[in-house]
Amino acid sequence: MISTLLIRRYWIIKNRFFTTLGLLLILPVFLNIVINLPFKRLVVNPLWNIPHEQWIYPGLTIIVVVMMMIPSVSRDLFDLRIHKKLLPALALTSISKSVYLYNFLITILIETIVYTILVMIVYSILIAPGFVVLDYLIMFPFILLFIALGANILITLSLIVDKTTLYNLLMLTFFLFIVFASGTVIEFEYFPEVIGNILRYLPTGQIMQSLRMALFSGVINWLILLGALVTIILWTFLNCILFKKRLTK
Amino acid sequence: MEASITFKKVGQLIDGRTVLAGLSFGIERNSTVAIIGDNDDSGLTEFLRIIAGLSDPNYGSLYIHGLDSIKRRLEIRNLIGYVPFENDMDPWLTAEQNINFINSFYSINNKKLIEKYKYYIDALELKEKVNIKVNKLSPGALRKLTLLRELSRDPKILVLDHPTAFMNAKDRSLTWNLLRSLHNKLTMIYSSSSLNIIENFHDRILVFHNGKIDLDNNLDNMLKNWMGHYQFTIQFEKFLTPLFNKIERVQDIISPIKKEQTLIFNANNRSVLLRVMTLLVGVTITDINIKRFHLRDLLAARYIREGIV
Repeated sequence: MISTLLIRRYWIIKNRFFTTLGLLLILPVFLNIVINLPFKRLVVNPLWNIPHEQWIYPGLTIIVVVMMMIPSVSRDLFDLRIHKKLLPALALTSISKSVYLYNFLITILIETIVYTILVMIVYSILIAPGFVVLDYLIMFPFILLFIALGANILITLSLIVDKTTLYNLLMLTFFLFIVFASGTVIEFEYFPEVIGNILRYLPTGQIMQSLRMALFSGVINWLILLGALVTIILWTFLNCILFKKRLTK
Repeated sequence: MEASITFKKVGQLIDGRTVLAGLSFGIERNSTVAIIGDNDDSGLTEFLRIIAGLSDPNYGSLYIHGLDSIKRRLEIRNLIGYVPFENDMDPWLTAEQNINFINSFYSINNKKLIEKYKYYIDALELKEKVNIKVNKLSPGALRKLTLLRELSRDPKILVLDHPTAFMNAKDRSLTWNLLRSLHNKLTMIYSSSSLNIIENFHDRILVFHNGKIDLDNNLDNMLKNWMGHYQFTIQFEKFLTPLFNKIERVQDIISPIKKEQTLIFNANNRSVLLRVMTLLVGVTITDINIKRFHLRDLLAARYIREGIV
């Protein structure tokens, strides 16, 4: 089934090739201008003396990839659902809805892997963080975990909301959360202590902290990784139930 | 005849309102059933959705080819094709991409699928439409494409919710001709607001009213049982009651009425008129009118009698 879903993703990208390509190239440049450049001037004393370029690189990559993922998930699970397109026909096929959603998530992850590689290349040129190949390899699984978590949040929001205005508001909130409250750009030390502690212990915060710990001190916290993985699996399971309920409604 | 679909006390509630009330009946294999609803709340769409598998009944059981619709859901899905009233194709893909995507989730022989797909593309004259993005196609073309999607899987049961809605005259005729060519080859259940079409294309008609089946038979039998096939109106120069009393006793005459100088009666065949005529020797007739009843007359008569309209 994954191949069928991947073929569909390919068709969609092919049908909107220039829009997707344009977005993929413009978005990293735009975020570099509005986030990286001002923050570089703002942060005079970087935390733990890590060069700003290196510190911000994984966060910026994640933001772009999450932004690229939003239309894919929203379109397939919110837009098509509220307009009663494709999903009713899909509900009548002989496949299980849970299996479909599970495969849908994998397809989205495969698609975002491609985006991640492209965005990493673009930012390596734009920001020039001075990473070696091993650094990129360390970063990759963490980014993937973050994306899987983000995809699950997006899937849940796309499935539970029926009103377009509310959905748009939630997407904006989600985006602001990813940019400002997940540790991608702003370190938790900069928040008031209580808020910083709450954000730090959220799965998104945990993954970002582990990523930087692995990248800058070479320590991999397997417990946090395992915890994130379990959260993602459980969340996917819950989303499968939700999807099934929404489609049979 | 073997049953294709069997309803056993099937009921459905939507927002606490009964839309289907304990339906129990069967539909024979390879028969064509036309359904009519007398208003928006007749439960017709829900009835089609339940057969298609989009809704589960709140109570009762539904069997498709002898298989329980809930317990054997996945097996049943390969048997049914459903053309909904609203287009359900992904607007960002072409029609062919949509069809290929959905059909890839069914367990069907690929060679057979391609064969049928090509056949129905020609039959529905869709060659030039399949590679166009769905959001650029007309609603009528989309209905034909949805029909193509469902027929290419070679379903045993085809459920159609107003199959020719939004179509132009040419496409309507093309579609009905294709559906007529499938008569007796698969079970077809369709709703339509065109009573002319229903009249000429059915083995059985179900008339829904407030979630219940109000009428269930073919048109011929319905007319026979309800009002006769013909209505005769004879106008006399002078129509006396003794003559009317004689006419009332004519064999097979239905509901004779005397309205001043006019005699109105129904019958199932025209020979009744000849029998009446034998009693009219020496009487001056000023006008005779023969009307053949249609489905719309039956429905109108039925609903006027029941006080529904």
